Amino acid sequence: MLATFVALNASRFEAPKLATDAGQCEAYVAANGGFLGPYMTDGIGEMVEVEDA
Amino acid sequence: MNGMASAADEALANVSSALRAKGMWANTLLIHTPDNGGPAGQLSSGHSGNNWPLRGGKTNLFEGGVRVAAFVGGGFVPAAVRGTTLEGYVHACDWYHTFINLAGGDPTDNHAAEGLPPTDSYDMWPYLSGRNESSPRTQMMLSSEPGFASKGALPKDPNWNGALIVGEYKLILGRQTYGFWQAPIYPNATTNHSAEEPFDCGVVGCLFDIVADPSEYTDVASTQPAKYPPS
Repeated sequence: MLATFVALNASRFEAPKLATDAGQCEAYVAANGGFLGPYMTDGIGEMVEVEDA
Repeated sequence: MNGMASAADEALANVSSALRAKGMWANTLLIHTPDNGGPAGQLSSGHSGNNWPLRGGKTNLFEGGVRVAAFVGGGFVPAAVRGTTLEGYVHACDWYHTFINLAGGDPTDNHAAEGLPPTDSYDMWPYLSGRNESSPRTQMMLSSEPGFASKGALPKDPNWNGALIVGEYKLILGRQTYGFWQAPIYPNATTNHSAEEPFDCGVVGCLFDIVADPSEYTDVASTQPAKYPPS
């Protein structure tokens, strides 16, 4: 089983890391009132105040 | 944890009710699956989960961390198998092949030329729908370890770990975040929190018969030479 584990583990795909840019992220947060991600359309992330039933 | 479970239950009720109201339930296949077992230790979300009688929990590779209860529902499920229970292996990655096949696509991976292995996902629909009596999956890689080089060198990170299931046996390697057993009500007044320490299976590994011993009480690595380590 150990040999099988080692063989399967060797097939692990190491995805290349994307470069990060803290400045770009902070600029997005400042411009959009938080980070919702570019895939979120306007309005989905709006906070809605809910009263207790 | 109880609150989250109640919230998830209510959300599923809302979704299924909406699908029924829209006349879509008959063609719906609803799948609910956790990503891991409950967090059992004090340092793992403060005992907010309970995996008893299984050992361990979230963040480690004992059954409490990786053996989860999932279910399928919806009108797409054949009536003959509704309300039944299956005990065969299904890996989370099997939903890939299953979904694509149900949608009429081709799940074959075509990136081998870029150095990627073929997928090891299985179509589980014949098993889930009752057409086949057994799961096609007999082997499961539960966790891989980047420090394991292709030639099998052991990783330098002291926290490395991995696990593999083959048939009824599960091999666990390396350091687990914890490996204690909870109780039906946990923690209680007599709980010994000192048992919640990391458990190290090391490079030798722990071997469990998870069919006969699903709670992983007995490490059979030294008594099953035919199974381990046939390297």
